[in-house]
Amino acid sequence: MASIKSQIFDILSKGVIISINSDKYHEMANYLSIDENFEAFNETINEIGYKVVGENGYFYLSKNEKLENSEVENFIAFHKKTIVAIAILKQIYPLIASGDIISFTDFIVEFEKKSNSDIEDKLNYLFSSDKKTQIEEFFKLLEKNFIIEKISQKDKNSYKVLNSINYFVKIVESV
Amino acid sequence: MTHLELIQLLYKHKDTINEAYINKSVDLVSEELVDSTLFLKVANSYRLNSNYTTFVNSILDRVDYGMVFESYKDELANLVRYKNRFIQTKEDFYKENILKLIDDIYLRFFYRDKNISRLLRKLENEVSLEINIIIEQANIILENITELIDANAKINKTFLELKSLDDDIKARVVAYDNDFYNFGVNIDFYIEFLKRFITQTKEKRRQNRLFLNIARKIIDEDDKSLTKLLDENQNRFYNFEYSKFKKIRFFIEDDRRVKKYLKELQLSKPKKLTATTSIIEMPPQKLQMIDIQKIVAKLNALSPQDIYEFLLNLEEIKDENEAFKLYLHLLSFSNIIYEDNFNTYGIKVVRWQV
Repeated sequence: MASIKSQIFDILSKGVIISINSDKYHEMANYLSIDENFEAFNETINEIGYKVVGENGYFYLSKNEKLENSEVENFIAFHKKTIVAIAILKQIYPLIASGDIISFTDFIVEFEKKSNSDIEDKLNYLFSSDKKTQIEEFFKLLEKNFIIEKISQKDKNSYKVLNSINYFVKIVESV
Repeated sequence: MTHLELIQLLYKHKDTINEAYINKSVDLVSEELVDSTLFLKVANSYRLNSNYTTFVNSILDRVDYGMVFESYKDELANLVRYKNRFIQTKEDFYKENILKLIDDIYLRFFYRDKNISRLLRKLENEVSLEINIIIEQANIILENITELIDANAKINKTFLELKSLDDDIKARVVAYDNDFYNFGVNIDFYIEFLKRFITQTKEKRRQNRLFLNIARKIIDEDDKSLTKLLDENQNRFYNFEYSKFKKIRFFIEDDRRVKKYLKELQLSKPKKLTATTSIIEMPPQKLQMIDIQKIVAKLNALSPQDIYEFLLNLEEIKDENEAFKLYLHLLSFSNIIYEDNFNTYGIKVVRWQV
């Protein structure tokens, strides 16, 4: 059985942003929340040119050196797409915050009530498919980019909003 | 009309009543419903009596933003009147009415407290309203609840005075003392909650505006400031997914394993490995006790799908440390084929191909 440190490394090195309120990764996040664990872990990671960033209830791996030109484009596109997706989420659920539970079906109901040209513009920016597929893709994007996670494998309809949403809040506040 | 007749009337017109409850009004109702005052004509439509709606909402655990926060001034005035009359006359009639009013006020406080609690939950979980309306409603509720502090104090003062009137009245007031105290505490809690909620919601409104503003700029390709921020602060942000880290992951995985095992063996840390560093640079003396040729012969004979697991099961390998060192050593052989997955030990699966 791999140690928790190995498990954390395995997950972070897959590009996962680990949130403390994630049911899937909370044990790892709790481990990293302890200062001495975090520092020891970071020390090891630093030796190979990376660092673990831990703030506001989430952790991620980041490269210390500047990205190569070929990497920058994807790096920026990831952030832009996620910011646009969160803007849609906030238009549908203005009070949404980390820890909230949202459901796919409720979202569709609210979407039908509140949809306007501004929201449609955002969806069209993110996806080129038809409206119904766009909403499915929207949920997939939020999940893939660590904004939401399924609350259980049995319940395919309900998602928890992860702390990593605050990472993007930090960015928009810095612009 | 008796209570039973009222129940029968409700049942007889259940569909109309239900439609009016859901849609707030109906265009046409039976005359007997109007006569019973269950429905009132407002403009060209008929609306349910608000007392009925309040009762149903209370039973169904529902509450509207338009909920009235009664301060029970009239009940208090009546209580004072009966108290004064009882002091003057000592008539049981006034005593009975005082007891009834105490019960009545208690029940009203009880339901008011329950409704405020429901209303705040509704506000907190609101998804349908615009954020400006949510803030506006929260401010109205805060204002209304704040006004209750004074009304509560007056009622508490009157109840205190009632205790000296009569033993039965005193017993009744004492029975409710604790609950009335809690209602007062709850009001303080509700006010604190609302103040915090309003502050947080205003903050969310500010954040939402930022997201909408930046999202619009992204769509309009007018997002130089965001791009500049990201580009200039790459190392502060989540850049991992887009670095070439993944391509060298296997080697780092080994590096991690090397560190872990060397640490366990209480040896010094290895130097930094890079993607181009050969992972076979293990000190050869660490494997000197194992007959590599013999192991290779077994590998050639059996072509295992997972070399590390295979090594673990060999008699000549005494523990995981040794298996891992040998595993690293074998990676330099041309017979190995890397698989995409990791085994249950967290080690990259590598198979042997003759």
